[in-house]
Amino acid sequence: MLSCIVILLSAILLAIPMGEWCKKVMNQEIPFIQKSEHKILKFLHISSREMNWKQYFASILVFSLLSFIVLFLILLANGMEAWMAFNTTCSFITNTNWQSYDPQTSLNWITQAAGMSVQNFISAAIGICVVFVLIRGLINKETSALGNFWQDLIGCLVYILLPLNLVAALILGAQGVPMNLENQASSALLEAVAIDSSGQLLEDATIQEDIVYLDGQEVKDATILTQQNIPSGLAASQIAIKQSGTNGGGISAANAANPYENPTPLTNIVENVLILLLPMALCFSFGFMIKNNKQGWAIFAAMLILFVLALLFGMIPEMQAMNMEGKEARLGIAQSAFWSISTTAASNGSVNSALNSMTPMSSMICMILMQVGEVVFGGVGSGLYGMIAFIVLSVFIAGLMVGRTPEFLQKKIEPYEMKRALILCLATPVCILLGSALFSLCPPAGIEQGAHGFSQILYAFTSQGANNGSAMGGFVMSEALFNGVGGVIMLLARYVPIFATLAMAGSLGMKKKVALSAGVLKTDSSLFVFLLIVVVLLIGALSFFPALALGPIAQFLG
Amino acid sequence: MHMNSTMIKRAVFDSFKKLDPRTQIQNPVMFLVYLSAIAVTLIYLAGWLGFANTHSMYTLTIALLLWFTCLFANFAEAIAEGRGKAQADSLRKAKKDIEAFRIESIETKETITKVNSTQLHKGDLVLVEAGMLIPADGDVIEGAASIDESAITGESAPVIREAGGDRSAVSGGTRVLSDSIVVQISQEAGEGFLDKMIAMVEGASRKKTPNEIALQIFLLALTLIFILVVLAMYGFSEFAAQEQGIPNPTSITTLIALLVCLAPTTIGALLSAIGIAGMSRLNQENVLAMSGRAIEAAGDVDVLLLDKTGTITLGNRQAVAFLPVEGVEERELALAATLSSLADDTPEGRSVLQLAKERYQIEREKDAAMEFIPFSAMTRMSGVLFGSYQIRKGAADSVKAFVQKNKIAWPKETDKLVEKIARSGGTPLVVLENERVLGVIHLKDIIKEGVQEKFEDMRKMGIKTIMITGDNPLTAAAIAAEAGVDDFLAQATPEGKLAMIKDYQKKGHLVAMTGDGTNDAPALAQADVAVAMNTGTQAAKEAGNMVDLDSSPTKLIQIVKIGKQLLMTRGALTTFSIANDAAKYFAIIPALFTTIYPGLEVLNIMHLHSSESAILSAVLFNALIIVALIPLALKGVKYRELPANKLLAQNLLVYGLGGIITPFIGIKLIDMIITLFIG
Repeated sequence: MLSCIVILLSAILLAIPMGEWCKKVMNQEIPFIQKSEHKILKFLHISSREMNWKQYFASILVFSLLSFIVLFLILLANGMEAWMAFNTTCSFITNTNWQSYDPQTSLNWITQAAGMSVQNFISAAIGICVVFVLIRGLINKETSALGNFWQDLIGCLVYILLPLNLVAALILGAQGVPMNLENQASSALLEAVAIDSSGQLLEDATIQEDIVYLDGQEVKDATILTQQNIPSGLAASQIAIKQSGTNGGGISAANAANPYENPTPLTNIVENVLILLLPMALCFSFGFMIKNNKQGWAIFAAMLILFVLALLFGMIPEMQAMNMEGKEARLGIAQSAFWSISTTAASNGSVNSALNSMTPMSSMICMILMQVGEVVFGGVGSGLYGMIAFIVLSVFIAGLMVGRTPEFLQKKIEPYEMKRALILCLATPVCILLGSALFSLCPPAGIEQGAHGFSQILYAFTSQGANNGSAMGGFVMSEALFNGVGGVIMLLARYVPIFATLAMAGSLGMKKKVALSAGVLKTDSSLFVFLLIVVVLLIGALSFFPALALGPIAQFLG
Repeated sequence: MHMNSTMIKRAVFDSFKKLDPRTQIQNPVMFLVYLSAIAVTLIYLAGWLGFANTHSMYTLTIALLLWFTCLFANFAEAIAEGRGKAQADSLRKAKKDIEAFRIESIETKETITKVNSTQLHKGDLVLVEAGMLIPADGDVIEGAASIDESAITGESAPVIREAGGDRSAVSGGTRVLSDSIVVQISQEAGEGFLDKMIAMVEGASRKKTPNEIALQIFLLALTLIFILVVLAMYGFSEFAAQEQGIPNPTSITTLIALLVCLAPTTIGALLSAIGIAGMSRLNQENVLAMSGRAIEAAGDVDVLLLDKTGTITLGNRQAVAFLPVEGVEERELALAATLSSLADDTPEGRSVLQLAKERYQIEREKDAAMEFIPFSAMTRMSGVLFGSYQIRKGAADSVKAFVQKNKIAWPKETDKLVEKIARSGGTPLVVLENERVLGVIHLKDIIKEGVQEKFEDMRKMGIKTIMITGDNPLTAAAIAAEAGVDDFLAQATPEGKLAMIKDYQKKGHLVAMTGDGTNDAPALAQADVAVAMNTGTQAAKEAGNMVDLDSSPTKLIQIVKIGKQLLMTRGALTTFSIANDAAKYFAIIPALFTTIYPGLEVLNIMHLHSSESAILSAVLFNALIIVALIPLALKGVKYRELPANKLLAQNLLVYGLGGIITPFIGIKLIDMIITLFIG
């Protein structure tokens, strides 16, 4: 429990200076950084001219398309099945890191490093770029220039993500996370074990002379295992970015529950802090950028209150039930539950326990955190721009109630912005509802019956539709239809909001600023924070109440 | 709003007329209800004809309730339009074909051609004699007449219109009571003020405002997500039902019922009524807005340019003292002042006579030998000449300039007196007799009662008040301080006003002003809310986006209030409508799913009788709440002068929390009643 408090406090304390640093880098306030960015651009023969929102969006699309092609080809070259490769590629370029594949057995260390890690960096950087474009749109007056994507990207990669992850990787490496150029190591088991044809461990089986017996009967299709595989490769660096970039895709199926990904109490704390750090920091960057720290704190407060509520309702049922199922004994209930809440709040998706074994109420909290659109800290960048869209919606209703047409940060909210904000807020619910409805009608193979089975479907599409990446599992994920639909959903849930955010930024940047007065609604007051929380929960609740009633709630109430 | 039975009858009739799909599609949220009503009716008919197994009281009742929901929404709009239609009808009476006397030129006004008013064109000249109706909008180019404008303004006292100056505009359909005038037509037939007015009050040319469009997008997006939620729910419950081996409990009828309950139908149904009612409230104040956009802008206005006279001070300044310079008797000054004011028919002039009579029993009559110099904006002096004797009185700086030009001595003491009066907020008028400055008349502005409080309220709401006056800066500052305005524009000129508006707009403010003169037109065109006086010129009326038929300068404050109230009503009802959904979920979800998971009965916190009564109660509540909120939509929510955050807190409490609680009570009550009947 104490470690949970340590994690939360250190994340907040580190987030403030980190926020200041992000602002300095993205605002090109440090001459050295600016110069070096220009040099790199010049070397690459890329213009450093500022772009309008369409040019910016086009650059992101082109870059993402290139990323897609490269990663897709790498995965195919690794021998991955095409739909699986499609799903995985979509998953990594969209900062989701949903893993339909088994990372330990299907990818070699080079692919992990050159394919997965690279996308982890890039997708996180794009998130930061997009949110800064939106902030520039809010600050700018009557201009269409919103910054240069390539310059922003270099700034993010070289001066924000690289140093942060260098430090993180060193700590993780020093604590025993592998960092070598090998695929996987093997070691002999002390005692051979048997598994059945579906991969289930036969716990009560006895093995005599390579024949498996269960209750005295021979099990014909059983396999005997005598070796275990240990994940290896450039793990420390990949795990650092998977946490700090809210990616989440690990090098083993067990993710951070695997001792080689998360070996010590310290690494558990460091990794959990990294999950929250950048999404929190960007709230403060926002305040610094608009020169109204109180506004940054207000957004942070709204997120933090939602997060603390989630911790209360998510951790208490786990601890009350003393639910050790699916958890690492060395981490315990509190740290496992805290991690699960963090990873679903911050759109990370890495896990240090089995979500499938969570109590129904706790798993519902995890789903709600994603279903509200990953805005409780959320993904790097995407959490904040999602939250700003909710602010626009809140301001719209609240603004009318004070007798003015709505405005945010002295910019009028008109039909154009309203459309974009709605697209931004509703893309996630639409993706989730569509995916889970489709697979409820044609359930995937191996799915459990009843409410828990439905929760698994709902969770799978909630995770993909919210670009989270964590999974409850529980059914066969290698089906082409599942991977195809999942991949498309991840792409839509990522690029539609990016489009909406950039379009909104473009139109906001062209607007004049209206004057402040006592009649203008304050968006940094505690009342507004309260309203924002209500709006976030309301949109989530109205969209998902029926689904949750048939899933975790039905499971809970029986 | 007063309602009479004819208005209600007409509204009921119109509610049915509005069931035309072409009308329904204008409002996407209600169009969904409309389609739902058709769908459920067809389902019922299919069952009745034996095509499907859905022939039941339940389906029929849902179908009827959905049709009623549509009708209630139509009724809300129709009743809001009712007042405007009634007003338009009475205006139309004034707009019949009028016989006009067309003339070729002023010189040849004896030769008239009788034509119908519809045949008149812009630029035509017409002669209008006493007792005749003015055939079309225009400007008086010769003569003066008293005119009965009650057909437009509702005000029975006649007004004077005369050639030249700022009171030359006449409107078609008004009646000349005395004298005859020559009018140059300024509008083609059918485009006149009366036509515009009829179109405006009737709401025929009402376009959706940007804010209304933005809100409609929001409502539409919510509706779309609910369509998806309901469709997905079918899939979800199919999955759950299969396991239990029972049929899917969510029938199409029930899904549609749930969809209609969840969709923001309350605000969807009342949205246009709110807009029309806001326009209508403005009409009741005798203000005509040329667009709905102007009313919305009024809500956003944060700088008010208020004319001092009539708004801040009582129109009439009063003479309170005669202050002679050394060597002049006070009586001497009073006499000179009286003589110079004999022809001055303004309240100020009369007050000078009054004061002289009270203090020194001076009474004089006009004399044929006297030649009066009228006041002009150029000289800012007036006076009287008889023979070689002359008296002039006027603003201190104009008299001083005149004195210096004519090399007359200007006693130093005069400056002191002038400054003393100006500092106290009074207006000094210097009196000059032949080549001698006699002294100063102290005119005092009487500040209206209660304006300080009014401006304080405005300040709380973040609205800056700016006093516009022709006074010198000293006087203006004193009055501004006493009245409690935030700023003032002294010695205001039309150019000065325009510059000031542009300056505020550059800083991001929205500015409202009133104006009447032709030279106000540029400033009116620049201002965000520009109220032209009905007494004003055609140019002023065309430049403004509102016309105040009462020509009252205080109207601006009322207009801002109506604008804010309109937006607040929209926001409050949206909040209420969305907050209602919580209870509807708690009514319908357990009703649907307890057959699959009996444990979900716990969610039936209202303890509704059965699943069918729960759904019926929710749908019925959804329909009835529209009717229940019509009065609020028409009247507007309660308006208070409070800072934004307090307003928000109050409205959130009433319409947010109220919106969550009310349907729980309402649905439970309806369920109890239904249970009573069905048993």
